Amino acid sequence: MAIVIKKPNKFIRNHMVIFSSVILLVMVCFSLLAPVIAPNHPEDVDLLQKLQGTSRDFPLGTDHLGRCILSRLIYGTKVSVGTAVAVMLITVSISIVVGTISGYKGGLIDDMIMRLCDMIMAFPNLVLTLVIIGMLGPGLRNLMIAMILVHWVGYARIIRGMVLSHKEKNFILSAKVSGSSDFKIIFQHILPNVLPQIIVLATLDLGSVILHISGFSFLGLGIRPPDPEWGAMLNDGRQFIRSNPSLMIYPGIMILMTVVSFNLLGDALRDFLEEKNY
Amino acid sequence: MSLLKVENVSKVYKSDRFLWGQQRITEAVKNVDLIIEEGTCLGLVGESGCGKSTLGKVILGLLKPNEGEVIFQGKNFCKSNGRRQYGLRRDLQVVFQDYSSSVNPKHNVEKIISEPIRNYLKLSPLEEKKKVLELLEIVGLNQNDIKKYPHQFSGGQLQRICIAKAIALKPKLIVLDEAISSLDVSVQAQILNLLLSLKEQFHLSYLFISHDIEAVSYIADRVAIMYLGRIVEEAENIKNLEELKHPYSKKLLASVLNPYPEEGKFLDSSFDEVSISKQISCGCNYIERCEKAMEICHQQVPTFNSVAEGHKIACHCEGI
Amino acid sequence: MKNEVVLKTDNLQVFLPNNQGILRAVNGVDLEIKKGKILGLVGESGCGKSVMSLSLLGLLKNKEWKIEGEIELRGKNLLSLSKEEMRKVRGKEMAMIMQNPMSVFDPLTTIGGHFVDTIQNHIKITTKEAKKIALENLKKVSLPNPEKIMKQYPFQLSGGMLQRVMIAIAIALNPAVLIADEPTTAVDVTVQHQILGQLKKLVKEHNTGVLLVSHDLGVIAQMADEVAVMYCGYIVEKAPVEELFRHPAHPYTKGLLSSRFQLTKRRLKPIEGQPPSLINLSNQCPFLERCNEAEEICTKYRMDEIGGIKNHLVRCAKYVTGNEVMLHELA
Repeated sequence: MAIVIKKPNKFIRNHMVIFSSVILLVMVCFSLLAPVIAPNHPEDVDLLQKLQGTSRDFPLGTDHLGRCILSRLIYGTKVSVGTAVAVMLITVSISIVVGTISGYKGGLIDDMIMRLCDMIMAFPNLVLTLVIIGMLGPGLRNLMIAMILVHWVGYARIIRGMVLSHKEKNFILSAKVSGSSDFKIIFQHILPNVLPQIIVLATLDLGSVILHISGFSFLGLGIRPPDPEWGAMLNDGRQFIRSNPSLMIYPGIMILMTVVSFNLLGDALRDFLEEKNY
Repeated sequence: MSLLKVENVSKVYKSDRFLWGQQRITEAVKNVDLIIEEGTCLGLVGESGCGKSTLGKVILGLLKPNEGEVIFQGKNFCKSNGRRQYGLRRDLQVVFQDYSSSVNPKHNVEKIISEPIRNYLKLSPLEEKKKVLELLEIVGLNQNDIKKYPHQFSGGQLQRICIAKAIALKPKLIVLDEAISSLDVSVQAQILNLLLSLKEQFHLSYLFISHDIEAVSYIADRVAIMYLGRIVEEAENIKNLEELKHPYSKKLLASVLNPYPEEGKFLDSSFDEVSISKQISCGCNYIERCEKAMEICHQQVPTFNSVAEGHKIACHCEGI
Repeated sequence: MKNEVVLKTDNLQVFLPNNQGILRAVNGVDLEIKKGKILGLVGESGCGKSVMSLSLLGLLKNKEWKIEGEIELRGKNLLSLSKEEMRKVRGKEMAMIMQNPMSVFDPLTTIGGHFVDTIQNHIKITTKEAKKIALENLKKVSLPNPEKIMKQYPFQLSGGMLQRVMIAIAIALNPAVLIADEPTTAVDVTVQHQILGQLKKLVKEHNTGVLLVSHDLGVIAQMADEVAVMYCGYIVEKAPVEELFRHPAHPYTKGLLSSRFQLTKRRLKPIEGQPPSLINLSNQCPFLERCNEAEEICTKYRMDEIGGIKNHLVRCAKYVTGNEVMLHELA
């Protein structure tokens, strides 16, 4: 029986999508055109102008070293968001290759890969990342490597599960009987059915990756001062939380908006893809 | 030479052993012999869990048998791999029961039907499209449907698409695994008529797997009845199914509900069901439900006896 | 009274407005379920028979379904009842047997638990007494070893056994009406035969009125006392069972009967084509395009005219009152 399910309030949802896309577009502009948009250089120290309020020269005021907060936020976008997107892309690519091989081939390869995953998953994410950074030394590149090494495992497991469930479907058997090679089956039948869901998942997860990067920068393990980064800015503003809370509020808002935008976009994407999937 | 010869095939499923738990072994198919001649249809009847679909998959080469051989067109299908199996596959196709999972929801009709064509024939895109349109017409679908996606079709139409894909390469044998079971009555008849006319048109052979003995009697030239992994009766050229002699076949026939209330048979309200796990290694599989069970049935697995020309039966009570 | 009507629908209409138009699932259905009788409802998938049986129980999931007309259970209009009153009717006065026994039972509750829950929802008795009722009912469906089954979980039983348990639970409170929606579609043929026999025996004993929904003409022929054939939400033909199968009048019924295999090699004559979409259905004959007996008058015919004679009703242009030749044939 065809029972038609109506979307819950499509109107509001649409506005949310527009809102989040606009914010993300602004982020992209920030990261690409930072030198053009920013009113000041983010690393110009001027101790005479420290902890200033809003003024014409410094639209959001200055921090404890007299650096323009707005300019630092704009320059920081590239590091915060850009790094997160890069980490996500590499993570997903690795896990698609590993997860698909593991799920499709099965047998010994599958067992080996899954035991490796179990080993990595046995440690708490945070601890493992800290250990890897500890071994490689702090710095943005090393932080990225550490996060990728920790994160691919979860995705690989999910992708393996999805591949396994699709592998048993009749259209795969039918493709085999039609003489399609394994390579063709994976690329024409399995991946097109797995990818949309992974993209949605990755979008939803992007927010938490941004938070992680900010968190590690906050701990002083990611970006090195004086490079601008939202998490590091939060860290710097910590001492002035009573006298000048704006030092922490602005980067906080940026992080919040980005995370929310990515989540909303992920939700919308999921609705869209599932709708197509009847 | 017969088209397909299944010799003594057995397939065993083993569950993983959990800690010190016992390993469960399910014998899905046990010592099955079958022959399909060119241009004929063999009907394989059995209830759910009797191993008929497993046998179908073994024949298609999707599962490896633990024992025995499948010889297709004189070549051993199980032992040949890679290149040779690819060649043999061309003549062996399948249509499944579950039409909605048999097609990739992300592909349109053209892509679905042209998959085997692309794998085997090197055609230009234009010729390929012409071929797909031709196939659509053969199975009775509208040519405008070529760009549509699976969710835009009804069950009967999807099954027609699956059939079009199966006959695309003009195969010798098509395995129809419960191909009509999940369709409506009137659509079942449409599809069966289509299958029959295709069989004459392209000189196809079918292995028609079904639980519906009425449908089998309509389409098949020969009937094999399967119970818990074994073939219990095989009959050729039966015009009248009442000739079937095995107690299980008789039970199946008695369960057919005919649409003539005046002939109303007494509906049986007793209880006899056997869970599949209760397999008996020695003796006849059917003893638990058999009314005629004798002493010997508990001790010996019945072997095939010929009761008439082309009519074999595995039962201690009959044909001795 | 022997032929007391327990459930009656009067011009029942169920439809769902959506963004493409109005989905008309049930159109003007008049049915009467009599005490101790089985009313068979035949139709193909998507003809509205499931929506119809769910609407009788007030179980349509989507809140936007609109129901018009009347449903009367022993003189009580069900459509005017509140949610809570309806809940009390379900299970006690009206019970349902569903198609897939595996998904109906909660896997974490024992069979006994299911019984006790259902019984205690409606009558105030102790668990011990409820268990006694449960045991009695399990014995009625001739399941071996009912004490053991009471303690077992659903996954330990086969589909056929679960279907028997479902029947036992449905009749436990001795409801006036039992709605069986494709009760044996999910089980094997040999098992189907036994379950149907059991069901028939029990409803005759308990004097329950049954609406048996099925797509299988064989099931209906063997079980029902009266048959209604549904097509596109309309009851196109309604007659006592022998009458319907011996002298089918509506071309759709004839088509259904001739597309059944009958253990012969005689070429089948299936109905060609597909049923029309239920969205924005007009009240013209929906079978017109597939009908091989269609004539000029059919285009003018409207579905609200019911033809035929007193207990054999046909919604077909040929059998409307006035066409004496065809009516004579029916009689």
